[in-house]
Amino acid sequence: MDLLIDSFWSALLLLASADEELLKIVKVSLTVSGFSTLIAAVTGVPLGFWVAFGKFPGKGMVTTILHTLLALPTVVVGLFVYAFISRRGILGPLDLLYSQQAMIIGQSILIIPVVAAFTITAVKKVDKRYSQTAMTLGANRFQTAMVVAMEARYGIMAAITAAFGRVIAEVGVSMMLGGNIKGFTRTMTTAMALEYDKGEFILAVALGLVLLTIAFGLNFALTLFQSRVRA
Amino acid sequence: MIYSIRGMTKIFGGRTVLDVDSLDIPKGKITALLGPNGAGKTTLLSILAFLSRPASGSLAYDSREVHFTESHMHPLRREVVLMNQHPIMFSQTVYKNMEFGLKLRKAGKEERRNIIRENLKLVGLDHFEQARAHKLSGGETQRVAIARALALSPRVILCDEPLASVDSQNQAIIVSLLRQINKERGITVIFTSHDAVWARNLAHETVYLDGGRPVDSVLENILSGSAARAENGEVWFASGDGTRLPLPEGLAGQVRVSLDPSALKINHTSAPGPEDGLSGRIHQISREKNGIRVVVDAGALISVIMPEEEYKAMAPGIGDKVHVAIPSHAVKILNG
Repeated sequence: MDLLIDSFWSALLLLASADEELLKIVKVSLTVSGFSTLIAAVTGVPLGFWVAFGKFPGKGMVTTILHTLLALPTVVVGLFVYAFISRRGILGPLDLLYSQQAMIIGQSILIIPVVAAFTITAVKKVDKRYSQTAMTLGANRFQTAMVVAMEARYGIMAAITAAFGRVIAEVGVSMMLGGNIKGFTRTMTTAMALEYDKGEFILAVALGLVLLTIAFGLNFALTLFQSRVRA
Repeated sequence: MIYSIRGMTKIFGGRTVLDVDSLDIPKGKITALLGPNGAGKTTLLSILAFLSRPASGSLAYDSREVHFTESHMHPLRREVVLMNQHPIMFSQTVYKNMEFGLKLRKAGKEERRNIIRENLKLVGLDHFEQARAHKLSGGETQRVAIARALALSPRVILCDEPLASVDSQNQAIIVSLLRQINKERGITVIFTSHDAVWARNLAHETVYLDGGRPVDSVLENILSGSAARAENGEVWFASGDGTRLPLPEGLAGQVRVSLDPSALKINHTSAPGPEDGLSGRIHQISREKNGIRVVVDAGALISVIMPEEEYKAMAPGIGDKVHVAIPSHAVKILNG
């Protein structure tokens, strides 16, 4: 218990001193997770719409696969992407392994199903009269989809927030594809794992506090958004 | 004619919900589509709004053949607006809701503002511009929905049960609005209703639907029950509320009947007649084009149309206990 309390106070001091290494780690984490969430949003939201409203054979199977992928272990994604981008992989010549780009690819694959699956749920919950009303007021298919997206905006925002939460807190993909290189691919979670291995808890606890603060900040913003929408 | 329908069917889950051999709806008039729940009124309205496709048959809109493809229906939708039974408002302000269709039609900012103000004023909600639209009451929502539709200067307004979910004060406002927009702007108004009384009052033309088909006479006082054979061999209709009517030979099982209100007779006899009728108290009395409508609460609400002289001679009052005689020619069997 003393160890935890001592580490906690030391971590607060470290945060207060704006330690350069700590800031670098946080910056890498936010950059990589931010980009992967952006990619997942611009692909996962349209994918969710397509599955929710499209009429195509095997639609049920696609939904089941997306839901299955929600439980995808990060190490499986790590292994899968590794097989493509390692020296012997078909994308080996691109020399992506142990780079932020590799981490972004892996994290995007991890959360595209999250965004798509939650988007499907969000847009399916939107009353059918919204699309009918938009159409009778003169909207074409794209404009009608935009109306539905507008009405499902809280659900879609929640999907994107959940996806960001999943990648900012994951270790497997970052470790396997990023390699935990100091100042380059070291993220909050990989740094915490390393510090734990070394038996050093101060930086690990400090990063844990930052991670929790980010999670709290995001959810607080989402709640504010929700209350504004429903006001 | 604004719409001409020929040989149109619509099928849901293997069941034919609309089967219209021939139907013409006049331009510039108010037309009521009447019928009980499940008669196919809403389905027909949705096809007339170019929002759904029939399984077969043809539809001409303003003498132009309608091809049920998205590219052909989309421009037609710009001339016709459908108002749902429970209109839905986008979760924005009333102003933004009304602006939606105008923006799609590329109206300028100033033009949009003028049109929105003019139409909100028409429905008496000009001070609601910045109100959150999804927070309005049922009647206010209906009125904003009318204003939102009118803002687009449509040639046709289709209203699905416009009075079903509003209070009496808003009902009067909506009836007067529909009449006004038809008269002053020449907009064709088509609305559905299961309430024949006010619908006939408002409409120039009336179409009755039952089981997805237009029927040529008034179908009112529709009762569901079962046909049973009595000990003496006669077949009787019996419904859950105690109504008993003689039926022709050969009927059995579930039966739906319609009682022609003009053929029913009311008398003051406190003791009910044999069994061929029903008794109850007078619930409502109103004047109509073809006589006085007396609605009797006999478990189900039964409408009777009395000639004016007969009404004056009998002078029934609301709450009076009466007997409704049902002669056999008043009973129409809808299905056996």
